[in-house]
Amino acid sequence: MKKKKLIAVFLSLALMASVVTGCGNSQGGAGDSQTPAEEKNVEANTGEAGDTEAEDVSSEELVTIRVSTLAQQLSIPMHYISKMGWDVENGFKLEITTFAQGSGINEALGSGLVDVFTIGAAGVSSCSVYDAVYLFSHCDSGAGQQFMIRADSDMAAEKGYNPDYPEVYGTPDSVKDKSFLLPMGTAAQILADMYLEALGLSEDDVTLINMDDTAAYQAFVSGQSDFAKTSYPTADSYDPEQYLVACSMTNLNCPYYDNILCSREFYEDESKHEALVALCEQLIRVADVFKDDKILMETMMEWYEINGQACNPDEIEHQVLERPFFTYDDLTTIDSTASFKMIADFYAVVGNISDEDLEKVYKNMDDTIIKEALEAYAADYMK
Amino acid sequence: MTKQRKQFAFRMKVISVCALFGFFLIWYLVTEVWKLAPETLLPSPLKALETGIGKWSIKKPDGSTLPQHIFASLRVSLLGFCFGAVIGVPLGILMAWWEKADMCLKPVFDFVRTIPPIAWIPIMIILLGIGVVAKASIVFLSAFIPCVVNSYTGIKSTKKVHIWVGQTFGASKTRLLFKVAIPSALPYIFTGLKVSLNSSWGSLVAAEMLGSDSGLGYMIQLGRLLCRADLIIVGMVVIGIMGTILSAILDFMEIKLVKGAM
Repeated sequence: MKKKKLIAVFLSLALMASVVTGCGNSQGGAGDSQTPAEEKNVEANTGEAGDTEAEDVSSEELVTIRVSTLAQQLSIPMHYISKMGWDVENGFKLEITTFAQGSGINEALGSGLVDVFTIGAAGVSSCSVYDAVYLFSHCDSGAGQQFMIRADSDMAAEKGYNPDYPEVYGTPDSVKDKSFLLPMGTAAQILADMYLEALGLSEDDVTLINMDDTAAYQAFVSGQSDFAKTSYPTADSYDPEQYLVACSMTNLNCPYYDNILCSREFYEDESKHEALVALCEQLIRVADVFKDDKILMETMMEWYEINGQACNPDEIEHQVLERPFFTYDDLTTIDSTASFKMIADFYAVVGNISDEDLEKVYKNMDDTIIKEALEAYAADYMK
Repeated sequence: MTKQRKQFAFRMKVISVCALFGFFLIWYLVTEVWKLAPETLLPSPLKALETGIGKWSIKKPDGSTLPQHIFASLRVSLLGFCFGAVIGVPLGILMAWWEKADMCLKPVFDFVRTIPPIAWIPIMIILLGIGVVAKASIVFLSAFIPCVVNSYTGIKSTKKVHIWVGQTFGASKTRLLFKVAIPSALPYIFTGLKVSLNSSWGSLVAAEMLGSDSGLGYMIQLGRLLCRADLIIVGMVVIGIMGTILSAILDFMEIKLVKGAM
C-alpha cells in the first residue's frame, strides 16, 4: 500500500515537472522546428562572441532577432554573421531557425514567430498576406534556374528562333502541346511564361504539371514529360550529353534575386530599429567578405553540414560562385528591387494575388532601412 | 422498423445535425466574433463559403474551377479505392481461408502495410509515370490495407459452430466459404471498405503531389504555397463532404446487403 502511494507521489511530481518545463520559455518561438544543429549554432554564437570586443556587451542589452532561414545558399550570410559574432558585436543576437520551404516561413510569420527572414519568390506572399516588409534583395540566384529538354527531342533541333534570345532552344511548332514539369506558383512559372512568350506562345498552348525539382528530375529521366524545371543542386544531376538547357533565367535576361524581409511588428517597433539597420549593415559586410571564393565555399559547406546535407565541394563550387551576394557597390548601382517587383507583377497577372494585394506588396517595399544600412556601412567600413 | 427505432433514428439524425451546426458555430465564433485567430491563418466559415462559391466558376489562382478539381480527385480516389477493394477483399479472404496463402503472403503484407503511401512516390514515378494510374496507385496502397485486414479478421472470426453445422450437412470447403464464412464476415468487410474509403481520401494530397494540374489535393498544396488559407479550408471541407457522401452510399449498401445491419 505504502509502495503504491510512493509511486503515485512520484508520478504526480513527474507530471508536474513535465507540465512546468513544457509550458516554460516561449521566447524561442519556432522552437519545434529548430534543428539541434541550429540550437548549437545559437550557443556557439554566444561562445565565439567571447573572443571579440562584444565580451563587454551584456546579453540583456542585446536585441534578439528571430531569423528564419532556408537550408540554401541565400541564408548563409545569417550563419556567417552568427558564427563570427558580428551580431553580438553590433548590439543584437540572431536566433536562427531553418525551414524546408518558403511556405513554412510564411506560416511561422503568420503565427508571429519570425522577425527577419531570407526568402525567394514566396516573399511576395509574405508581403501580400502577412504584411511583411521587403527590406532589400541580397543575392542573385538566377543561375541554375532552367528548363531541361532531351537532346534528341524536336525542341533541341532549333536554337535561337527568337533573335533576342540566341541561346534558347525550341520553336512554336515544336513546343506547342508539350508538357512542362515545374513547381507551380513559383519563379519557375515565370520562367515558363517568359520562355513561351519568347516563342509567341502562352500557358494555354502547353500543359503545366506541378512538381518540385527533385521529383521532376526522377520523372523526366524516366521518360515522362517534355520539359523539366531544375535548379541547383539538382541541375547538375542531368547528363549534359543527354539533356540540354532549353532556357534559363540567365539566357532569357530575367533577374531573379533572393530577399531579406522582416515582420511588420518588428519593423514598426522603434526599439528594434537600430538592430535591424545593424543587421542589414552586417549583411552588406558579409557580401564583401564573400567576394573571397574560399570563405564563401567554406561557409556554404558549413551551412550544408549544419543542415544535414552531404556535398562534394568540387561539385558544388561552380553553383555557389555563380550566385553572388550583392555588395555595397551592387546595391548602390543596380536596381535590386527589380526581381521582387517582377515576381509580384507576374503573380498579379496570373491571378495568384489580386490587384489590391499587388498594391500592398509595393507599399510594403521599404528602402529606408537599407539606405540607413548603406550609409552606416560607408561610414564604418569604407573609410 | 418499429416506432421506437424510428424515433431513435430521428433523434440520432437531429443530434448529428446539431453537432455539425455546433462545429460551424464554434468556428464562426472563434474567427469572426472573438477573433482568436488571424484571418490569414484561419478564415471564418463565411469567408470559406464565399471562396468556395467563387471557385465554382473562377479558375484563378490554381488554374481550375472547383468542379474540375472535384472531378479530378474523384477519379483518382475512386479508381484507387475500387482497385483497393477489388484486390484487398479477396486477398484478405484468401489469406484467412487458405493457410498456405496466409503463410506466404502475410509476411509480405505486414512489411508493406507499414510503409506510408507518400514514401512510394519516387518508385511510382519510375514505374508508372505521373499520370492518373500512378496517382491512383498511391491511393490504392492506402486503400487496400484496411480491406485486407478487415476481410481477414472477418473470415477468421467465423463461428466454429457455423462451420461445424455446414460440415455436418456435407458442405464442401468452397461452399462453406461462400455460404458461411463470407456472409458472416460481411459486417467486417464493409467496415474495412469504409475505413479504406477514408484512407483513400486521406492519401489524396500525397497522391496529387505526384505531378498534378488539378485536384483537391493540388488545390490545397497551391493554397499553402500562396498563403491562401481560405482555399485550403475549401479543399478540406469539400474532401470532407465527398467522403461523407461516399460513406453514406456504403452505409446504404451495407444495410441492403448485410443481414441484421442497421
